[in-house]
Amino acid sequence: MNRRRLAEVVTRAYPVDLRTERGAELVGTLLDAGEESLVAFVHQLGSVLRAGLAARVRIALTLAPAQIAIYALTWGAVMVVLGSELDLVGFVIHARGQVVLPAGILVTWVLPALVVLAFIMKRSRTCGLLGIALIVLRLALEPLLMSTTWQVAQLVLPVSGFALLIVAPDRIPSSGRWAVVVPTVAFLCFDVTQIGFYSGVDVIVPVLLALCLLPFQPAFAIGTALAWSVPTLIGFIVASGGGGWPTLALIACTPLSVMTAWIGRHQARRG
Amino acid sequence: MELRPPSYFTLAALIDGPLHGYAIMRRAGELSGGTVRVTTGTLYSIIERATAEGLVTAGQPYLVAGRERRDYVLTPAGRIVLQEEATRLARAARTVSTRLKATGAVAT
Repeated sequence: MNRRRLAEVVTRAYPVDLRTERGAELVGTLLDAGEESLVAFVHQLGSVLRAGLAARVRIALTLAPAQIAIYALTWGAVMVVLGSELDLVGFVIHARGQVVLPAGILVTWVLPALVVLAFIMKRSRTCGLLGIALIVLRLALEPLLMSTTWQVAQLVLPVSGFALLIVAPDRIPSSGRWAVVVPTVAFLCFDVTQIGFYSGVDVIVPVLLALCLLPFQPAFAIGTALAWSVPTLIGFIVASGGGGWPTLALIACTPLSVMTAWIGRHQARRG
Repeated sequence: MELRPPSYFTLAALIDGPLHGYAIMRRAGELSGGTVRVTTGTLYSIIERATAEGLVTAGQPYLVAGRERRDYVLTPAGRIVLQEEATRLARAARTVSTRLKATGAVAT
C-alpha cells in the first residue's frame, strides 16, 4: 500500500460530510507534511486518525437527546428480534437439531431475518412494519407469550422501537446499521462455545462491546443496554421476581450507558 | 475569546496573506520559534472551527503535482480576535514581568 492509499484510508476516520468536503485536500496536506521522513508521515497519520475520531465523537455526542433516544429504541427493538432468533440458533445447536418450533419457519426464521435485513438495508418503514407483523403473528400463533406480565413487559421495547421506525423513518440515521448484529453475534459465540457460561460475563458481553462504541454511537450503546437489561428488569419488577433475578451488572448497564453518554455529550458541547 | 497556542499561531500564519494547509503548518512553526508544531489533524480541526466561527474563509480547491490544495484567508473578524489575543498575552506578560522586576526576582 503506497502512502497516498494509506492516507486515503486513514482519512476515513473523519465523518462522511467532512470527508466529502475536505478529504482530498487533507490527503494532499498529509502527504506534503509527511514527505521528509517515514517517521514524520506516521506522526501525521496518527494526528489525522485522532482528529477524525474526535470529530466523529463530537458529532455523535452533540445529537439532541430525543434523537439519541429514538435511535436507541429502534436499535433495541431490532436487537431483541435478532437476539431471540440467534438464541434459538444456539438452542438448536445445543439440542443437536432435536427441537420442534411451534411458530413455523416463517415466524421463526424468515420474518426476523427480513426485519434485520430491512434495518441494515436502511428500509426503516419496511423494517417497522415487518417488526410489528412479526410480533402480531407470534402472539397469534403462541398466545402463551402474553400469559404473564413478565412476557408482556418484554414486548414494550420492540413495539415502541418498530412503531418509531414506521412513524418517523426520516428521523433515524441510516449509517452504521450493520453494527446491529455485532453484540448478538458476540453473545451467540460466547453462548455456543460456553466460554461465557463459565466466565460468568456472558449476559453483559454485548453491553460491554457496545460501551466501547459509546463515544461514536451513543444510541447504539444505549439500545444494546436496553435490549439486554430492560426486559429482564421490568419483568422482575412487574412480576415480582417472575422473570428471575437480574444480575447487578445487567441492572447497571442501562443507567451506566445513559450516564456516560450524557457526560460525553456535556463535554463535547463544552469543547 | 481565548485562543490556545496552536490556534493562535495558525491564525497568525495567515496575517500576511492566504496560505494553503501545509504552508500554514510551516508558517505557524516559524512564528512560534519551533515551540508549536501544528500537525495535519490539529490543523484541520482548527480550520473547521475557525471557518464555522467566521474567522477564516476557504478558497476554491486547486491541484499542485496531483495534490489538492486550498488557500485560507483571515477575515476581519479573525484579525480582531487575533489582535485581542495578542493584547491579552502582551498584558499578561507585562504584568508578570513588572512584578518580577519589582520584587527583584529577575537578574537584568
